[in-house]
Amino acid sequence: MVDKATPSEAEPNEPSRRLADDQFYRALAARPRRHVLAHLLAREECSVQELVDVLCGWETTNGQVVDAARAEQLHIELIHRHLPLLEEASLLSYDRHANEVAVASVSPQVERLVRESVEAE
Amino acid sequence: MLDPYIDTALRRRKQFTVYSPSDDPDIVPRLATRNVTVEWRQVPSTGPPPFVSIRDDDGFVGTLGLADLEQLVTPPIVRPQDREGLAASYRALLDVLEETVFSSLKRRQLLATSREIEDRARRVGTGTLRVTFQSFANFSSQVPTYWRLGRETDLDIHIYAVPDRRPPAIPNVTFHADETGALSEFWCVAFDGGPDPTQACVLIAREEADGYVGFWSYDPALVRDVLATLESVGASGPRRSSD
Repeated sequence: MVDKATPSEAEPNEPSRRLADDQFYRALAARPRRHVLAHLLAREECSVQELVDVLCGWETTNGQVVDAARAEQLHIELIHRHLPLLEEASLLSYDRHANEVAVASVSPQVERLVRESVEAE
Repeated sequence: MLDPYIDTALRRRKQFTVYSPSDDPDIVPRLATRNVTVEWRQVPSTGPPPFVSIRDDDGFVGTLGLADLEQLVTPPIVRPQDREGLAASYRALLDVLEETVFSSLKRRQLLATSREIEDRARRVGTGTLRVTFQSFANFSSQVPTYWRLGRETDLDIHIYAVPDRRPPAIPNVTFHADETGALSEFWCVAFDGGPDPTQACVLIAREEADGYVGFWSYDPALVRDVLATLESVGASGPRRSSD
C-alpha cells in the first residue's frame, strides 16, 4: 500500500494520479487528440509530419481529398493546441527542435480507454 | 520526337506514403512507377482506414483513401465528366497525378485509355483529334471506329503512320505518312477538346523492351503543344487520302 503524498507534494500528473486529474480529461476531450494518442500508443514515437498525415487520413474516410491548405491548418492546430495540451497532461513528450513526439508511459486502463474511444467512432 | 514530353514527366518526382495496418507486399510494385517512390508506414488497427499522402518536389499535394488513389492512377482514365462539380482539392490532386509516368503499360491499358479519349472526342463532336499508329497496316483494325467517328461528327481527324500500304478513304480523316518512322515507337492520342479546353486530353507512351512507358494529361497547354508537334510531322510531304 503506497502512502498517499499530500496534495502539495504529489505530482498531479503521475500516472497513478492521472485519473483524478481534470487536465487528463481535458486532453482527451477532442477527437483529434484521441487520434494522436491512439497512433502514438501503437507507434511509441514518430515525427510531427506523420501525425499530420494521420490527422489528414482521418478526414479521407468518405472519399474526400485533403489538400495542402487543410493539411497546413491541421498542422497548426496540432503544434499549437493538441500537442501542448497532451504534453501538459504528461501523455507525451514533444521535441520541438527535432519535430518528434514520443508517448509517455500510461496505464493499461488509459490505453484501453483511448483505443475504445476511437473504435467507438 | 515525342521523347521530350515523356522525359519531362519523368523528371517530376512524386512520393506516395501509404498508411495501412498491414504491409501489403504488393502495394509498392502496384503503385511505384518510373517517377513515383512509395513508402509504407503502419497505422494501428484503430487508425484511419488505409490512406496515402502524396508529396512532390514542391511539397505536400494531398491525402486521400488508398482505394480512391488506386482508382485514379490505374489506367484507363476514370475521371468524372463534370469538372465544375470537382472540389479544388481533387482537381489539384489530379493535376499532379496525371503526369505520373507508368512503365510496363500493357497494350490493353493503352487501348482502353485511347478508347476513352476517342469517346470523349466523339461526345464533344468537334475539334481536332491526332492519333499515331505504327503503320497503316496496323490501323486497318480501327477502320470501323474511325469511319464512325469521321462520319458521325465534325471532328478533324489526323492519323500518323508508316505508309506500308494505301490507307482507305474515310470522311474527315487525313492520313499523314511517317516516312522516317520517327513516330513508330510512340503511342499517342491527343484531342484538343473542341470549343471546351477542359475537355482536352492526351495519352503519350513510348515502346520499350518490356512494355510501354507513358502518361496521360488533361493540361490544355500540354495537349496544344503535342498537337502542334504532330502537326509539324504532317506538314512534311504527306500522302493524303481525302474524303
